[in-house]
Amino acid sequence: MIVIMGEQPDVLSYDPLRIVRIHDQTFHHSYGKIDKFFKGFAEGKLLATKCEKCKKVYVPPRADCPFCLADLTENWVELPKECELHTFSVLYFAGPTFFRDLPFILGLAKWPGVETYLMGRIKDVKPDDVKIGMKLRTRFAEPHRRSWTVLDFWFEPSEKETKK
Amino acid sequence: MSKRVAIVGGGLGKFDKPREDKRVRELVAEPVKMAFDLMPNLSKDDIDMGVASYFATHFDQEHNPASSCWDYMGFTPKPLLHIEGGGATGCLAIWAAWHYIKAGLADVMLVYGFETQSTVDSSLANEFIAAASDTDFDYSLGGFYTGYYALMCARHYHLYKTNPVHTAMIAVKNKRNALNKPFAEFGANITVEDVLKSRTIASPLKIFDCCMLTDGAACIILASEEKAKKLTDSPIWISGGGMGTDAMRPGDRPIGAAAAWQTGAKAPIINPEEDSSALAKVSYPDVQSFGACREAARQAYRLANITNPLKQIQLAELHDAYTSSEMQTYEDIGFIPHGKTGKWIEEGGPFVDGELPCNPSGGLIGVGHPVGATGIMSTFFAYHQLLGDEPKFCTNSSTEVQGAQRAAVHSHAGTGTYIVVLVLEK
Repeated sequence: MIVIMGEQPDVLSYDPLRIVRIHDQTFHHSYGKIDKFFKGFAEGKLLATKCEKCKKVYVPPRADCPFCLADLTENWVELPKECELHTFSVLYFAGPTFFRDLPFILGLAKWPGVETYLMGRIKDVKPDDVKIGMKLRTRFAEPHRRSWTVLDFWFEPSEKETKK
Repeated sequence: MSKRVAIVGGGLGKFDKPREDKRVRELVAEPVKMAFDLMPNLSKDDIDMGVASYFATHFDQEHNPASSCWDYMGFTPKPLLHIEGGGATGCLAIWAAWHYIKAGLADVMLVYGFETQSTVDSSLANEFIAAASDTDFDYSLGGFYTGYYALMCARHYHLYKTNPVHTAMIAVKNKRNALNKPFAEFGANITVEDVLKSRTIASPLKIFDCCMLTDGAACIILASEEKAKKLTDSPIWISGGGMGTDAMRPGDRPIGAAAAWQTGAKAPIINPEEDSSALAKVSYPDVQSFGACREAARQAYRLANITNPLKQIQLAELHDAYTSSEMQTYEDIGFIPHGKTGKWIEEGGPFVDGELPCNPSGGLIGVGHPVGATGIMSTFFAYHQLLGDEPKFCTNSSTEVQGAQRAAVHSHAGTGTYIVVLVLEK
């Protein structure tokens, strides 16, 4: 970790002596072998990888099957638009990066035949109307809103839920 | 035949936020000096090796505090190891040291742990800690640990009909247990109503359901049987130790420990009253339970010959980063069969005068959670409970568990990613 200190650090207090240190870094981050998942949001797709040998589907995708270690980078499947809410929470606190979004809802979504759950934001619903087991559909960010992160997709109640 | 390992001493610094009076190395020297003061027979020359326990280097912008503490206290050129395993770091460090002595590679080991979390505001501190979760998929959504535990808690409530009163009772218990501890920062005489009315951080968890960011340090001294007998008249033995792991992302739990238990051996039954068919009815551990805890407890209980934990253990120090995780742990450490925890809490089971007192120290919620020091603090209090001198470190004897012969100490990381269980006995 590199510490970058300003030329004239601010003094917070004299007794005890406390100064401000600034640590502001830019990282060059790669999504590795599964960046197709993040590119898929622009095409309106949630993509998973599938191991044909183990008959398992993973989302978030894995480049290597955790059971047989087979290479899955060529075995992508598109997930259905509809999924089910496994569990959720309404957040009223977060890291500084996400403060502007508060409050927001996080949930784990599940699909039949998929081994794992995918965490995502849940939008367009009042916190009191969110229920474990409800049906959700996936939505994607418009091009001008794209962040190339997992914030580019989210879930909202499916039509079946909104008709109830 | 591997050697027996004893706890022969330890020390605690004041858990507080902030501890601006001391720099990390000075903070660590505080409990180490206390340990030496409590053990007149122990000299610095007796220490063969050290294990440093801390989680994050973000807070102090210093990448090798293990070494800076070690030379500050004058232990060079003796060997030193740094252990890091999230919230479980403290007991993971003790577990590592235990192996060295068991194998005969060292006779006396000093395990020291610390964390300082007050150098940034609590929002940024939570973001630093959340960097221990999956940064591509979970943290980038605005996820942080209270949110993850809230997801898991909601699922436990849903499956096992537990409710916010059960978790609130744990907050009341732990905050009250810490009231008599000068070392503790968060003791309070609160009611269930106070917890339920407190601010929601991530539903269903309220602020009183959560431990608070803390600065602090602690240490434990372990010794081989031969050396322990020279150093003290009352060694406390680590008769069992175990460590388990599970998928780091909560959403990956079905392909973590659960997958091994579907294809190979079934999830081990560690409570004689647990019905394996009850586990089979739900996806276990999924996100409502901690499979890594079951695995850690299985290993520790096998070594300590524990077949009925509720009857054979007299007190437990559990990793209550959240009231919900303490509730979930009662089941996965084998105290209570799955689905029966709510009733056990209502009956007062985990209270000081209950069937198996859990966190008489006050736990993380009552004492504080300076990550690398936490499991060591838990071990310190369990050790003194078994020695029978716990009140010496309290303002009264209200949290003493009299006549305790055996204790369990539990340390927990991530969303249940690493879990350590230690069994201590007289």
